[in-house]
Amino acid sequence: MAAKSKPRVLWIEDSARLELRNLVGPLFFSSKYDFNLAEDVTSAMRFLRDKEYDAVIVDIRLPPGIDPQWSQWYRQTGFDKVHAQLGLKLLRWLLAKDDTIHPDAPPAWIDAHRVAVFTVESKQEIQNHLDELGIQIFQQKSAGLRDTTLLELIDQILERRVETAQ
Amino acid sequence: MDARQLATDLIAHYNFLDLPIGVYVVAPDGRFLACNRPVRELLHLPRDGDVNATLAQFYADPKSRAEILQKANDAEARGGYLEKEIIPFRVDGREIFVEDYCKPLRDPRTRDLVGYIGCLVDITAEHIAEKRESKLQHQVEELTFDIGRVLHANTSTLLMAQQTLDGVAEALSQRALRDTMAIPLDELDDQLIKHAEQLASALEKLLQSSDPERRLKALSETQWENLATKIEPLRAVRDFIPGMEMRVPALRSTAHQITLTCLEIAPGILSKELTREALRASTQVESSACLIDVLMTRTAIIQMDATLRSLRDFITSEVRTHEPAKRMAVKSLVEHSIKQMAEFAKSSRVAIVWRERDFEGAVEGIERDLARALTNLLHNAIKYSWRRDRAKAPWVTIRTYARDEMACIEFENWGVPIAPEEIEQGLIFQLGYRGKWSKDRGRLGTGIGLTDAKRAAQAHHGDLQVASRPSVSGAHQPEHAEYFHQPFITTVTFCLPLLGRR
Repeated sequence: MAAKSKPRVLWIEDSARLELRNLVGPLFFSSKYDFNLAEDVTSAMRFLRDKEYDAVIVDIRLPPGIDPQWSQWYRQTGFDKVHAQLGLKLLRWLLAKDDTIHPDAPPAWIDAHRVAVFTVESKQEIQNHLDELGIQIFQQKSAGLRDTTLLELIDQILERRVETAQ
Repeated sequence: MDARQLATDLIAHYNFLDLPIGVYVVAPDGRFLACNRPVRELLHLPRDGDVNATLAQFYADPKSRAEILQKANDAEARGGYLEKEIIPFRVDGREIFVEDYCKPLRDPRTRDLVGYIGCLVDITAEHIAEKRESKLQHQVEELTFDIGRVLHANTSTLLMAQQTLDGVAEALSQRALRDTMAIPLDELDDQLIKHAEQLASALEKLLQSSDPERRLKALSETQWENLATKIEPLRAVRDFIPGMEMRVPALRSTAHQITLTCLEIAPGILSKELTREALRASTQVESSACLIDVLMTRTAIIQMDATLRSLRDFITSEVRTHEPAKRMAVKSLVEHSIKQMAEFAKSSRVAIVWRERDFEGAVEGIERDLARALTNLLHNAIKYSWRRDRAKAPWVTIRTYARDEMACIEFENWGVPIAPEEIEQGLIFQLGYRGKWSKDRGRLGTGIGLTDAKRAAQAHHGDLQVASRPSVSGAHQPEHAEYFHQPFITTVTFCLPLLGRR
């Protein structure tokens, strides 16, 4: 019998090596997932184009990377990732297929059930966007997060996907 | 002669109704006798014809009218008139602010008061802006008064934290801090990876040491499974977890879990030596990882301390006692900044290489401002340096020389890029702006350093120039994803007018 492949997980987060570095350990050592980390929107696009993921966790305040279109959005908000909220733009491009955000077509396989938002913004601040895009899983970053937070978030997406499929 | 007659005469003689400023004539009780279009528009009165209203009804505080009239009478007694008196009005429920210029009108023959003539100027927008500005000014004054103390308290806490970390680093490494600091982080990382491999082997031996039945008496099946899944990632941790920043905490927490599990092993079932070996190996990984974490955090604290000090100096620069300009040797300014940044350079493992040390030029200026500017520039150069090779510590080069009658102090580093448009558009000199690539690896900053240095240079009739280019030209094209991930050579040159020799 062929070995079942591990669920593929993409975390789009620029602080994974910094204040959130404690969250990555349990993920790597669980050996349960095929894990990729994208630290800016350009790299996220590259990963999303290259393979299909079972779970995608997205931060809201992201740097653009080198892609001219994402850089343009970033420039328009005064080079400030807090105001640029490129994570939201990325989600709109991916899920609402909004081609005014980026001219390239988003991957066809992605849907809201595979996505969770993990950000410093409170849920109320972005609730409208979450509702509009159909994203149901949200976790706010705050002091004292458990090391297993990321792992739990991934499990939540995968469980929800199974429930939806049933 | 009554006031109406007087108003008619005034209109006939001066035609003031056509003036572009609001003009009015009122009876002593405030009844309008005449007023022009700007007044009618301001007070929402009929555009033409008689005005059946009094000026008094527009006062936001009706009681204040008597005071204003008294002031106008007093001014007249002094041979002048009331001017620029700001009066709050209420027009159709909305508060506006007008500037009133007013004088009493008297019968030329009897000198009896027959009314008042004046001008009204709507200053609502200016008045509100002025009030807001004054409030803000007050807040800034309060903030700058207090910020020195607040930031001082913060830097004291940082110093305490640094001292604590020094002690922890000495305990974990079991050697003097200066000896630990001399070891490159890469070497400590290599050591950690070796310890992780040893832990993997120790766990493997422990798992293979007895039959399954016996093993399950020592720990539960889940616990054994947990230990078993960690062997492969521990053995090839460099491939499993790219980047030291993520690898270190991951190994620390995993080793800690392994330690806790090993401590739960029921006694007398498994080989004592192998259990002890696994426990020793996990403790070793935990302490090696903690040591690297402590050293990296210590560097971040020293960096934050320098940033806070510079921020405090910048914010309070306007409220400090004025310091007179004086003649200073460029050499002493550079020496000062190196001394200020010595600890930060040491903790960041960056060497400072000062070339043309014999430059004897002198400049004139405010020592504190120039010292702060140069210290900020050196701080940036250290902060944004990358390690070039494993054998040698990264370095920052300082050059001092004369060019076009200017004394130039140049800081050059190899590492984090500055994008061309950020230099061309002057973005890097905007207060609070942080470079596109400046935040990689969590580098702290306030976005003040370059702004402050540029201002300081210009205030001393000098300038600040910045250039940043790939260290190897042509390795990547600018549109390539890797372009800004390659090292750049960044040169920041602080120039001041060179003083003649004494």
